[in-house]
Amino acid sequence: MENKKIIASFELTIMIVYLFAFSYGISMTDGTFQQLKNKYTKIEAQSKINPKTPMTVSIFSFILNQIKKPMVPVVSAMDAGCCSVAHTGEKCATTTRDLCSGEFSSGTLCKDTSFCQKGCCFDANTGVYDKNVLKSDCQTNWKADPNCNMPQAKLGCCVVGDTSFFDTEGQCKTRTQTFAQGNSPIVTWTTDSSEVQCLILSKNQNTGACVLPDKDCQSTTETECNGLDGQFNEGYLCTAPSLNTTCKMTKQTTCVDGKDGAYFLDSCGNIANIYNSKKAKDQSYWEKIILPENSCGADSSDANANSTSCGNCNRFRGSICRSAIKNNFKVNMGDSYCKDTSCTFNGVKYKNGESWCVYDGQIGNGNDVVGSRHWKYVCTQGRVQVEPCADYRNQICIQSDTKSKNGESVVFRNAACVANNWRQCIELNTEKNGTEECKDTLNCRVQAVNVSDYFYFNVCTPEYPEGFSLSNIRYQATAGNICGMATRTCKVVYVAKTWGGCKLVANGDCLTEKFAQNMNEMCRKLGDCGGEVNIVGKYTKNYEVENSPDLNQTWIEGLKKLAIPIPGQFAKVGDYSKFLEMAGAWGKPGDTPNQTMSEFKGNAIAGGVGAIGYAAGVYATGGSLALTELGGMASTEGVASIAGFSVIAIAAAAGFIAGSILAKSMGLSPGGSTLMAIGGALVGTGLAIVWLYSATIPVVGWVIAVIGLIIMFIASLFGGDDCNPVEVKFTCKPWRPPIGGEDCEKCNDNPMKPCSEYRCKSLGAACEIVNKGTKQEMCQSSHDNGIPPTLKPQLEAIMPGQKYSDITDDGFTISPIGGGCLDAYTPLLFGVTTDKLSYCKFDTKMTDFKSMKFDLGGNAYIYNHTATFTLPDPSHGQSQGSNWTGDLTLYIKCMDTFGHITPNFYKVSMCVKQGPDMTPPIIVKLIPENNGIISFDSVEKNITVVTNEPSTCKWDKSDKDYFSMNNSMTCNDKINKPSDAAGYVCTTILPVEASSNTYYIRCLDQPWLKNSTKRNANQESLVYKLRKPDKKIAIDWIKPTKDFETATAMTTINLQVQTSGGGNYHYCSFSFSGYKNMIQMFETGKGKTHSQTLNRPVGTNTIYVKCHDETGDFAEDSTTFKIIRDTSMPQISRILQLNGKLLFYTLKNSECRYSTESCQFNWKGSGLAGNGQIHTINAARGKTYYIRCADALGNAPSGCSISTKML
Amino acid sequence: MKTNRAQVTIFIIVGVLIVSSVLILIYLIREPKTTTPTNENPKAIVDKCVKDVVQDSIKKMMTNGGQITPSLSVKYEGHRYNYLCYQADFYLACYDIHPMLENQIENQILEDTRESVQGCFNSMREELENKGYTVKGGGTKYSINLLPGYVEVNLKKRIDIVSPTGATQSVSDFNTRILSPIYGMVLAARRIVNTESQFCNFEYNGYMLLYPQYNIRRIDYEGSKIYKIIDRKTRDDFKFAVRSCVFPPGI
Repeated sequence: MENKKIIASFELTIMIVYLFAFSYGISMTDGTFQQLKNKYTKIEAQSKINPKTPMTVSIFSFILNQIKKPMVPVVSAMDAGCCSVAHTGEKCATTTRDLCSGEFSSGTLCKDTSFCQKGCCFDANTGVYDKNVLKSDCQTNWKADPNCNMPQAKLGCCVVGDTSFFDTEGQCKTRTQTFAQGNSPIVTWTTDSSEVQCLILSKNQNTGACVLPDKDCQSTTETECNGLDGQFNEGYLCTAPSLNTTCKMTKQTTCVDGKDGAYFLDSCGNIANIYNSKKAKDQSYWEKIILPENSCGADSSDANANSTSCGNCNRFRGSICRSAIKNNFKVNMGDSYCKDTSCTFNGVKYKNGESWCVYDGQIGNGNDVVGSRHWKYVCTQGRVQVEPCADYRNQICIQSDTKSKNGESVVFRNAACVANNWRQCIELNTEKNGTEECKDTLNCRVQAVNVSDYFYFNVCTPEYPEGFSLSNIRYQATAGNICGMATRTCKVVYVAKTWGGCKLVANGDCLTEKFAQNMNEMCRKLGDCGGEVNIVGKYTKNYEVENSPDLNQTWIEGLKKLAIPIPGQFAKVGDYSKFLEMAGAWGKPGDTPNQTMSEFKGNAIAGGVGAIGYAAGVYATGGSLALTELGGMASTEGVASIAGFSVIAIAAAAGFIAGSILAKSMGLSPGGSTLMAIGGALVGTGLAIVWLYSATIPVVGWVIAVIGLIIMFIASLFGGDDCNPVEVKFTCKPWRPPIGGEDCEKCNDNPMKPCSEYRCKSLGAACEIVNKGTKQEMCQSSHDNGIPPTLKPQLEAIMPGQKYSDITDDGFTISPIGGGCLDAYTPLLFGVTTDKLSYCKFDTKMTDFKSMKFDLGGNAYIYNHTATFTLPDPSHGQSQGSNWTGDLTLYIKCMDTFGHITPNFYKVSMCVKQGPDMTPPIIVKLIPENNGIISFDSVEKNITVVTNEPSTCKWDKSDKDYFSMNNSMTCNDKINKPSDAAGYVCTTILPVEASSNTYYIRCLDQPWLKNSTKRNANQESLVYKLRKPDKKIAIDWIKPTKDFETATAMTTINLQVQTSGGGNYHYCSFSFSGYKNMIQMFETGKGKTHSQTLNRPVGTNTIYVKCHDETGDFAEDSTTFKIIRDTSMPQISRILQLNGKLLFYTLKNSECRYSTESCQFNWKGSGLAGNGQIHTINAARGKTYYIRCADALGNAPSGCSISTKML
Repeated sequence: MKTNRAQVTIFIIVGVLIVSSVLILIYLIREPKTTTPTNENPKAIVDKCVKDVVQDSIKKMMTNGGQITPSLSVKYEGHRYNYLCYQADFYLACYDIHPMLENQIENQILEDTRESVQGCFNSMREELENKGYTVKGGGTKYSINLLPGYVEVNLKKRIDIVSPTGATQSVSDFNTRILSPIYGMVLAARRIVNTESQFCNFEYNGYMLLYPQYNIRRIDYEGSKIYKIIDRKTRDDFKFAVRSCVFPPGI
């Protein structure tokens, strides 16, 4: 049990420590987006403090980059920092300067400021030590040790009379002075017992009957009795006949402070023995003190809970003394009894102090439902109390049961709320071996999406998916991006059959239900996303699937069952078996594909199919050139003998080509095309023979020609099919609550599961918390007035240089401030506001609300709805098959929380300038960024170039025009389908040959125009540089390295790491167990020195450190040192009297002070005898000197080290 | 002869000195034992008044987490719970913003009651003056000590009461004790704050097992933890809040 407790507390500590480190990780990766100058400013502001580094192109930065787009930035990065006191009274808050009324440190995290440093606030005289205090808040002494690892702060057992306390020595003195009844307070303070042992110690104090001169008697300790001038009779009760006191037996009982049992009282008010109704009149029971273990019911398994006759209670075994009157309990005599402290919950009996987990539905495996929370229940003295774990499943409830020796029954249940590590699981998806690491990462699991032959991949998802704010727009935006990780497209590839029709060659299963099922599993396991149910089992669909079936009803019914808890299921402490099991579920390790991203495979397949098509094209066109050239060569040779055959061959070839062209124009199948070409060749051959040999064998020629014509006719019957690939798309959106508010009240039903905003909002779109902060706070449905929402333009949601015009009740127009039409490819932002919480959609066509394609402002009920996009050049439209002429109207409809939809369309009109595209493409983004640092070991580097319009790009090592450049990039994005939020993507692999590499990049727009001169190329190259660090990242040193001494069991150490080489940004993590599951250091990423304050125990400590830079290079090292506990007091070895001075020596370096009053002197106000091993006091003859010495660790006696009289 | 005279003179002088000394001594000894001018008991009047005033203040301290009025607080069920440990940012553990809580509460009680305690003396004075007494008062020394089981009120003020008959009574010691579990509750609150500031959590159920005299309730509300430490015997409760390691609803 003890061991398990230690493990549990270790886990807990690790989680907590990780939590801090993670927070830093979050702050490091957070972007610069800031929406409002309100409470939410803080976390974003915090993020501004650290420079955004290339390596932080993680999901977090991506997300924040995404959400900042449609918003209007409010505060610049320089405004954020740490504020000592904010206007709200909050201390050490990361905020903006204008919200700060105290000291402000711009661009700094609070932990890095001097005014927010945590320390120990203490008063050595009273023995009060408070941890984690700001210096400014401490009116007494302050030391920069937040954990107060000081010898004087140590807790020990303070025994005062027959009571004991677990205090510091200073506090013990205060207690003793208060309680002591004698003249000289005796401090009994020891550090050799635990808190439990100490509290039990109070029961074992030797007490007895103190007979006073007047025959009165008091039950006391010997010390107390001496103070009363009484005669102490150890082990006797005042009612003992032999003592002949005035105290008599009674039937009265009472509960005693610090003791568990119900005790008899004598007529003098003294505590007698444990209440035992059978012994009330037994004189022998009133003679001597009988310990509880020798009293009635000592062996009772339930500690005499609810016994009417025996008061031998034991809080650790299930009962405690309570008033029978207050609890309406009938006892045989007196008014105290052993109250049963166990609890019964759902038919299960729990012991006092037992705790267990309760859930709202299934948990783990990514199955936690929306609105659910983990609950810890505790049995406390007969009552079940609820302790909710952090909402939004930011904490999970873990349970560890101690079983009986035979393992059949549960002896004790222990539960705890611990941090949910979900953020790391999401983050792992951005790392190289993230999926592998995922398996070994706490609270993470690998979700396998295995739909089809080329559409399968693994994703790291949380074991317990997090909840998202269902109402806060700031968190809705990030939720949209996390869910968006499950927005994927599966390309189903077809090729034409020989004799017509299409043949499926890849990803056929994406066209089945399996696609939606697999993708929705991934989607909902990322968080509150996709098709998922809430705590009452209400399902809402928050995904879109194109060209593939939806989830069927049976599947949905299966999801609804997730809202029903599984009895006996709970999250276990550090249970990794599930992760391993999941890893095995996909097959043998060898079966797992190395390429996890299906897109890669899909692209490769598509590339292969495209290559075949391209070859066919060459065959049909270029092939003719080859044959022509061959013919030309033959004729120049002038070989007369074969001239006739040459003509026939040429004619056959011409016929073949003509047949091929005809086949292509007719769209014949491959078989039909071949037949047509053969027919053409025969016709050509026949006609050539007729022409050449008209005199001899013209009939043969005609026959061949006719056969050819017949074949061509037959070939025309084998028409071909359009075998384009089908894109099957799954769009994963944040979860949106069901319409209405019929379930809102269910949130208030169970006082053991108190309602919260998240829980309330999950029950219905119309649910809201009312009377917040008051006793009447509850979840209620808002009023349904039956009126659909009214829309208005969101005037501030507009790009610079654009304006809303022609505003009417039915819509508005977006136009440039100067009038006219908008330029193509300029980013466009627009928005509407609704008069009530609404979910808005828009489309380019007038269609019903359900069929509308696009969400306006996300998949949520909000007031302000915005969207951002880029309009293409209308001149591209028709050539690319879209019906886009430059005039565009967007049709908007909104639905309120009760499902009332606006009856008419709200229209947003705009037009884009038409005309030939005269501008070259613009490179808007580069990955890695220009002048970026890459791995020291790299010999090549994958790069991504993003342009504002569809383009083809090339690169070269020297600056030349586009057409002269030798190296083409891969540019597959089609118009209107950019694969990056910033634009159209081209990729390539650049060779890395030196430490500094320069490349020249140019792009050419309108790829569909092929070789047309209308295409626009960059006239200047983008000079792109990639650098390798001079030296690979290395760990220079780790501190501490040397063994050191301390006086306390735990010591605050400052782990310091120095790195060198590598890129610009170094990040270090640490662990106590190896190089896995490492925790990012608190202060890292800002330079080459990294530090972390740690609380470490005495003994050998090994700390593993791993540091990496933005290139992904890393270095590992460890440090081992011993923390040696030295609690020995400085000893005085010799004392001399010399020339009016007292000279004395200590065995170790110490600071010695003295007083002439007593041993209990104030350290600071006393005289200094010296530091080191030799100490001197200018002494006066006849005076006594009280000397106390303390070593550098703070070891000092509570009284004197020595007292000596100057002779 | 001369010697005899001188001796007699010395004896007379010594005798006079002895007699006068005795008289002075008698006077001095009798002075404090002035008979009470009436049945009025000024100490009892002040004592009751001071006890009421301090008791109210102790209640206020327990309700407001050790302050006269909460400075930084969270509203729950209509009540403002004073933060003893607070962290404004997400993820991080809280700062103990009220260290040396006992001292702080002692000072707060002093601040809260100083005027009212003075008022107690004024009332007493008024009451006695209405009855024809003359009341004179000296300076006040007033301090509060939270101690295990009770609150010690150290109140020193010299009060001279002169009856219409001229009899004088002086009282200077108005010390009193008020039974209250606040000391133990403050220790428990400090323990909670220290643990929350270090580990973001406090295992209050384990604490209750060791200290069954307290019933600790915790309510999690809007990222804050509201603690109520209830003394099972007196039903007094010490209320405060902690904001530590708060997680945002997403990223």
